[in-house]
Amino acid sequence: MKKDRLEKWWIILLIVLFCLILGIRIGKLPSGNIKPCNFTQNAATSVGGVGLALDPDAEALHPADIENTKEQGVTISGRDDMTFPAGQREITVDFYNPEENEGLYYLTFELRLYDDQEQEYEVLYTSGLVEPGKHIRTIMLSHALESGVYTAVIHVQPFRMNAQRSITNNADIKINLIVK
Amino acid sequence: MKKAVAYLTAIITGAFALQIPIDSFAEEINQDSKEKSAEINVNYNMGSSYEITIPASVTFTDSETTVERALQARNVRIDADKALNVMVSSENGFKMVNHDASMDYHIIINYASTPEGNHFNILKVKAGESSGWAILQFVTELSKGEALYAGNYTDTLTFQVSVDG
Repeated sequence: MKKDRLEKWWIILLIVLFCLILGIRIGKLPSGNIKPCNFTQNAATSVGGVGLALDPDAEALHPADIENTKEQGVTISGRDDMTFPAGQREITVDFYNPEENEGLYYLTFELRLYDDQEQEYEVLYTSGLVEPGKHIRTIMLSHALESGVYTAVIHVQPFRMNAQRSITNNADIKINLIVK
Repeated sequence: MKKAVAYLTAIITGAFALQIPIDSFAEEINQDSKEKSAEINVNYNMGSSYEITIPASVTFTDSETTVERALQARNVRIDADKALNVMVSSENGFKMVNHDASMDYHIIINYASTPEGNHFNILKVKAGESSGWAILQFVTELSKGEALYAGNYTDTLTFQVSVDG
């Protein structure tokens, strides 16, 4: 009976010891994000070894709020050529609203065919609002094209995802339209 | 236990026995073979592509007459001898318009140049550079006295992107 009790106490003691050791180990682990080292004058001197310190006033040519700026911008994906089959109105394309615009902007796409002087254009296709992360794969041209290389522009107009769907600045993506 | 070992031995032996010697069917190519060479053309035409982020809008206030925005190009993959160019033009000739009243503004590129005209280059990314950016400072000299009307004075910018030789 006594022996059993002694064994029990030993087991309890071992468990307590184990918990203590585990607790100490966890306490020593780094918690969360490790903060990056700040450059100080001494650190710079020791790294460079030439007695010159990093100037704390020097900064990269980026706006301080570039991340905020990025959030406010519209991301547009582009390319420099597209190939269509001659004589067909239904064609395959990839008009894409990047996921970066999630929660911010719809995009519309207008395919414009320019004349030789690149002054006047006719609209071959206009899309509706495309949500971020979605593609338009097949479109119907206003008319089929003959074989040749044309100058075209994909006019991308963003709209804010607000009640007014107000327009923002826009982009013209110039492409070579190869029809064969 | 003994049974299990016996079953396992039988399964492994069967598996080896059923294995087909594939290389015995393969045609041997040596110097006496009729076909002395095998040629494969490997082609892949990678189209050019890129992503740009343009400033969506700029809002001036009485206290904020200079607004900074970034134009960024990323994942630029274009032909070796070409460059990605981004130009900007203004619908109203860099004037914010409210009916027949207007207020001028201008753009400073990378804290340095203020181009003339209504259509100018703001970013060039050469082939091989996967990204590029330009910092645009939009500057106006707001003066309530020059503004004929209350309300919004607006303009729209178009960023023209092309890949040129």
